[in-house]
Amino acid sequence: MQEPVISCEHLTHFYGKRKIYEDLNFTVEPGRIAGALLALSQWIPEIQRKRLKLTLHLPYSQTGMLAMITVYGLVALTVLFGLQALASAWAMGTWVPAELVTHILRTMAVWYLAGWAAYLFTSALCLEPTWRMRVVLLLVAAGALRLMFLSGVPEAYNGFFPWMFVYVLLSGGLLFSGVARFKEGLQD
Amino acid sequence: MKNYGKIFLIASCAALFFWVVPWLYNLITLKPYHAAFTLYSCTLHDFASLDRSEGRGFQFVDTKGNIHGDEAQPMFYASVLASRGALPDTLEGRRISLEEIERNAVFASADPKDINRTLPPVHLLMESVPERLELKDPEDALVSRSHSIDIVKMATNEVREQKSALFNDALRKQGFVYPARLFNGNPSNRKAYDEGYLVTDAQDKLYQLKQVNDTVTVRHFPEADGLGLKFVMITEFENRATLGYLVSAENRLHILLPDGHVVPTEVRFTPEKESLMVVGDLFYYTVKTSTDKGERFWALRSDDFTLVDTLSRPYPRDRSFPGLRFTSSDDGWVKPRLSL
Repeated sequence: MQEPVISCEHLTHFYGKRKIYEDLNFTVEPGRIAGALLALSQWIPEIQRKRLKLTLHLPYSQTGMLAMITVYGLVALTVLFGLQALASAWAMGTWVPAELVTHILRTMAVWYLAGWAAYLFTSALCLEPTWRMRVVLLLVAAGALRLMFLSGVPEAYNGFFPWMFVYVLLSGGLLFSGVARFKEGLQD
Repeated sequence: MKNYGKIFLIASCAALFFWVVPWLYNLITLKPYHAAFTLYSCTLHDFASLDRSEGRGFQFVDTKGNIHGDEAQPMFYASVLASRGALPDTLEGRRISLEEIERNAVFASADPKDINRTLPPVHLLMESVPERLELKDPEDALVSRSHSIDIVKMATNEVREQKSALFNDALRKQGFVYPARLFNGNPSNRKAYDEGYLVTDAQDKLYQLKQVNDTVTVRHFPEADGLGLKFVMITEFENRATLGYLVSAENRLHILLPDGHVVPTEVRFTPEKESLMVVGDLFYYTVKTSTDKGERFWALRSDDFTLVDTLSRPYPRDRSFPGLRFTSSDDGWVKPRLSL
């Protein structure tokens, strides 16, 4: 049994006299990150029996096509995260002052970024043609994601967040370099 | 594009290497260092440290190397000594009782990690004079905003307009300049009594906010004006001898007395970099400040906080392997930092 990445046991939360919830229990297992699941659902059909080869032979710019699929995934994730954040903010806003809602959303921001990172790294892993490079990618992805769950202190990532955001955006380039290597004929 | 991927992965692997390898090496090779628990002794008139090196139970070593039993700390181990009839009835020229010793036992601590982090400007507000004497869970919260401090009823999440207006009028009359900067209190019913919050305004002036009979009262401490306070801490000790601890811009610890007087001490404490521990008794306070380099002790008289003795003790040299770290014991932020 793998150790959960998030574990919450018997949590009861009072805000003044009002009970928000009682005896809350849940765990999140590794790999249950929305971004990773979305990337797998998008790319696994493409890489099965190397169907990507066919996709890349379509009469359309390869970079444009890859970018379109990735941007679609990122937009879908952003809409999902946006709806979740809005629903959370609305629900919390009825219970606690806006300052606390902002505090909570700022704390959550890095977890949304982890979803994006998981999406981009999983996509890059799917598109990478060699196992040697896949291992390197997996190590880097594990390190980057670990960094985003390093602290439970609220708003711990405030100062570092913009830099991590840029890093996650830059990691999107890995998808294109993987495809470039694939087109060169590198594959196991 | 192929080169971009290579460059990105090489840079990421290098960062990963300098983060994980030193951490792993330090985890395997470093041994924890336990600093000896040290207090100023009212019987020895010297600092005495708990020494467990020989495994023969509790023994204390003074700064000259002499070994003593737990009677060297009769204030800290008063209950143990009393249980075996070894508690002296007279100390420092006055008669003492176990009840008096227990009532005057004081403990406080502060850690840079509690200061160097982002805290929400919402503070639960207790009733200091509860109807049935026992402290109750707070029903209102103070929300510090740029041009006011609003009182929010937590059950409905609505601003209590009338109560807030009265409170903010009282703040303005006392010269409070928004927004509040430091806010320290302990809104818990696991304490003997409530003194509300110590708060500094935008001009670093010190105030106490306290709810009495459903009205938030404001008290200004003019003696603290001009100190440039960077740290405030409410004490709420059972003996009610102090109201709070303050640290000025020059990192000097001051004691705030219940009558509003501010007493400067000789203790130097940098709250954003050092940990603080205060253990006080009927006769002396032992104040310890520490960093990862070492610890400093100050013994103060409990009645007037004048300096009696000091002690400085460096920790063994830090032998950790340098590398990249993202967290620190001194703050709550995740950011890259090089430990050299």
